[in-house]
Amino acid sequence: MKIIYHCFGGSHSSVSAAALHLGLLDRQKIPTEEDLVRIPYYDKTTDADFGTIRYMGTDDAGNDVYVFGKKSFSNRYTAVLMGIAGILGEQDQLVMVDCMNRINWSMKVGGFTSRRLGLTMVGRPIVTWGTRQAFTQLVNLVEITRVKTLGNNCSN
Amino acid sequence: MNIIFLGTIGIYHPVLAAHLYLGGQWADDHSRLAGWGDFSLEARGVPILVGRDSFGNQVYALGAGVEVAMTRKTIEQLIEVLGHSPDEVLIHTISVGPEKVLLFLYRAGSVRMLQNPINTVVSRLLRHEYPWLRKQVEEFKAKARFS
Repeated sequence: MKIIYHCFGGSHSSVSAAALHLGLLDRQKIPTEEDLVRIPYYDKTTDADFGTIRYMGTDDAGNDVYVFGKKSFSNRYTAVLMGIAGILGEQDQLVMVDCMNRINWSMKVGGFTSRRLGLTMVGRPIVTWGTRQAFTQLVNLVEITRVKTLGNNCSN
Repeated sequence: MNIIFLGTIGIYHPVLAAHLYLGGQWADDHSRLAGWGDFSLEARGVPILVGRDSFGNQVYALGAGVEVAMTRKTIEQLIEVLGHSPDEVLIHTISVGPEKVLLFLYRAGSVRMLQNPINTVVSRLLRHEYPWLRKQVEEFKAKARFS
């Protein structure tokens, strides 16, 4: 299966969730700023990366995990991509996971400052603090996703 | 194979382009065209199946709002991610002059009683775009060698 975590910029919440899914972050321990910055793509994307589906890794069940940023497209983008998967007869092989409902204001403000304004020195501490605050929410989202995909893998 | 006409508001010029591609002619009343002006279809976000051409290709219209280029890029990548050939889905971007006006009118259509009048206004606006729509469809046919 293909699991795609998505958020506004594809740089913070989706990347953190994908890292949790792949075991790049320990689910039992709130990560430090250094742990987060070590994750591939975390707070490193540019405007050109919007809409780009980036491979993060393959999980222990053999599912490929991706991330991407959809700007403020909300659930519509999920519908569009699931529709395309449906056309190709692959609807059962695609799981879209929206991370936008797991983020907080610190992540929004810090992410905007770091990525859109280019003020990484200012924005990064704010967005990493926000990510640590949202960590349990992201763990919960990933656990739900893993259970869902486990069910799908078993039924296939 | 599948063909998708992609534009800002799927239920307007992409639907018209799909009908022109399928051999339809311009008519002032578009209400009988599959998908035309159906706000609920547009809100769902999924590709709108307009018909099937003589080669058996399924023809769709899709709206992407202001992010047409980004959506196209993501769809093309998704096709590869899912392990399919890019040839399985041909995407053709359709543009018209009054895109911003169409976006504004579509948003105004969130008021249900305005939807029919808005469809009439859009139909009149797009009448002036017909030669340009026709040209884009012909270019697509030539490029895809479906003449």
